[in-house]
Amino acid sequence: MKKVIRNLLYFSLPVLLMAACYPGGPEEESDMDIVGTVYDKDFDFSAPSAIFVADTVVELVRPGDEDPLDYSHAYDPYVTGRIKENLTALGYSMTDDPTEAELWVTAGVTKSEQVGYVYDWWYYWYGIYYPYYPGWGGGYYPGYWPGYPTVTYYTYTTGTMLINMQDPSRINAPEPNDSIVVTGVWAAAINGLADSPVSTDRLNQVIDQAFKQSPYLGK
Amino acid sequence: MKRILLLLTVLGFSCGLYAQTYTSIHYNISAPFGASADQVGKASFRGAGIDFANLVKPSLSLGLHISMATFYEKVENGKIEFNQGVITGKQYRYLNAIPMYASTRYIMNKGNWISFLGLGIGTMWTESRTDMGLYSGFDKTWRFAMSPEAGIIIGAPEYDLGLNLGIRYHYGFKTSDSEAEQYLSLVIGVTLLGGY
Repeated sequence: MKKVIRNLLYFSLPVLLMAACYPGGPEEESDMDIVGTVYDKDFDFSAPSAIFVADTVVELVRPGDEDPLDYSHAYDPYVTGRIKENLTALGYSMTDDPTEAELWVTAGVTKSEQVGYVYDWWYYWYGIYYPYYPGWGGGYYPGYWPGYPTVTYYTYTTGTMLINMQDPSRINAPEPNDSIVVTGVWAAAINGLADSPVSTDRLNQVIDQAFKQSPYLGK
Repeated sequence: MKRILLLLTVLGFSCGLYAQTYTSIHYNISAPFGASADQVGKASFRGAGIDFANLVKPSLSLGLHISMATFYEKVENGKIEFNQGVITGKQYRYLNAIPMYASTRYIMNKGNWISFLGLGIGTMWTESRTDMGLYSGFDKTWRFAMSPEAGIIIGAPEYDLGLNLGIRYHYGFKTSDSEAEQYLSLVIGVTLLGGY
């Protein structure tokens, strides 16, 4: 009976050995980029002609923070230029005068730092210290168990770019002390790892994808 | 390395009882079906299992089966659509399945070629996971499962060993919040034939 029970216990060990396996996975930072788009289903995107695209990418920070994003505005021409190229390819015309435009497009960026830790229980059970015989005196010191678990800390930075398309004719005329509400008709959110400087190729790819997955845009 | 040592311990212990039992260790190649194929459309080449059984009659064995299969697929243009928009990105899809059965086999032939039909009834743990961007969606479920099988053992009686070939269909029943998981496995392995 003891042998049977012991066999059953050993037989259950493969359950631990065969814990969930995750082969493959991302190999580069760009593998983790995602692009999300939302739009107003009731808006006729073929009606407007002239679009104004703001030349500056806005840093989305809380009021009072002083340049916490460490964002380089050297990217601005690449971002706004690529947006203009995509809109032009869709048949829209660009204007530098926002009062003449039928749609406004603005871009903004934000960053956040994620911190976490991994507590490795395996080393907790595996850290057994065996007894040793001291060089002098009698007996030997017993081993002690368990071993010390290991804790691994990690940190990474994520970045998000938001592209907003707004209809200025929908701006609610503000009353005193009221907030100005600008209704957006299309928005794109691009999220990914931002631990290292982002290449212009990577920027172009994700901005193009935002327009590619929005087939309702265009004249 | 640690996992290999523990697995060898299991096998070594199992070998000592082959006088009335048989032990099989096998490699599995599996193909998903149904909702499992919707999650991961590619075959799994990461699978292994152990069978441990006792001959209760000359043509009937009762025992235990445990195995695992890992399915993985990278989807270059993964898409999540919702009412007024879509999210796109590379998706890394996984399906891990660990079935555990009480199994029985009806052994139809004897001699160097042993054919059998079997049925396993028990439980299956599955983990379905999709990684997209910096986000993951999980679904871990225990479910009731059954598994018919058919196979042959090409024996070498002088060594009490046999080459084990077979097919096994795993069906994990649906639960209140999870679809049924099912896949077909091609089994190739080695059997210790002490009981035949």
